[in-house]
Amino acid sequence: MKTPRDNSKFIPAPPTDAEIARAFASQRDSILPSSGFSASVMAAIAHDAAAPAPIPFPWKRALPGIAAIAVALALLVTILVSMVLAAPAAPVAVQTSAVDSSALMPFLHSTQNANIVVWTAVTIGACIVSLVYFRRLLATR
Amino acid sequence: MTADPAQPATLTDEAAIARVLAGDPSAFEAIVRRWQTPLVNLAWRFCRDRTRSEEMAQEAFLRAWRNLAQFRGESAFSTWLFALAANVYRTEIRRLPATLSLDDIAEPPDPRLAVAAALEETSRDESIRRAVLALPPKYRDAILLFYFHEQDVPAAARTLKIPEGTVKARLFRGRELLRSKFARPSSRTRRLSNAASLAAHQHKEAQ
Repeated sequence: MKTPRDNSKFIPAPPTDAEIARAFASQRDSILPSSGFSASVMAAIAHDAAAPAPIPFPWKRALPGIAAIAVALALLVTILVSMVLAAPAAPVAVQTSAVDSSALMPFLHSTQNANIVVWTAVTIGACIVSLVYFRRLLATR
Repeated sequence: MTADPAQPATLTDEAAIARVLAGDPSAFEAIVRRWQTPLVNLAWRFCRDRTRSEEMAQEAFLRAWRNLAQFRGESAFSTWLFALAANVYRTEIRRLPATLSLDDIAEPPDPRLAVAAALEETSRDESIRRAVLALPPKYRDAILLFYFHEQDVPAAARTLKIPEGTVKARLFRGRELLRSKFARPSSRTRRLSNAASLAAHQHKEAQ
């Protein structure tokens, strides 16, 4: 039995423009919708039309919360900027080891840093209040 | 086209749109009846699956229904509808691609069927269609829309919402890519070619 050696004749030739056009000609490559297609579409549309309109976002109710978040963010940015501006020119070596927490005490006891702590706490509190407000708002919908 | 107010299915597009926007959903049936065949066919060219193409076309009609108020009449309704449908189809195909791979594309026709020229031609056409679907999306879309619009570049450009020059460039590059895919058969294709060749040879010798 002989084995054919030349297999190249089975490698398809690259398609010409005319062949591509023929392959996609509408009379050769088209289908008709099934008989129930338009009824199915109209049923879907009737279902969609009967569904209640989407609830618009409650901007009026959300506005206080958004304002609170904006104020909190503004405060946070202000505090951070003031911290950066108030920092001494020369770097101060502060011991931040968790073991030796006493090294942080002078830092916390200074008046300026106490203010920072207070304002940071206020900001965090405002964020928490805003989050709780929004959760309650969503729960009522 | 004459409009019969009593028969929603015979309304013109403009009249149907006006009635739908006035609160009569049944008037949309005229639009569905008029455009169902083109929209299903366009979907078919993207996925080559009859059931899926109807599902995609239905989604396109639903999207058109929901966004009908956004149609300003600046272009023909068909332009707006095809652009919307093409967008829906491309998104759908990106989410769940048509189950094709390049290995499935350049299959040579079975040599035993080669005598039947029509069959061979059909097989060749199908190979080309599948190869186009396996192209990168931007070339695939340009080719599909160009031939869907009967080789009308401006219409394809309007549907794709891109400049005509871009469509032409993508058509050129897409065809080049297509030819390169056919010129470079996969290992599986070569293996199948060898097997088919051997089978044909054995069949001939047996006779």
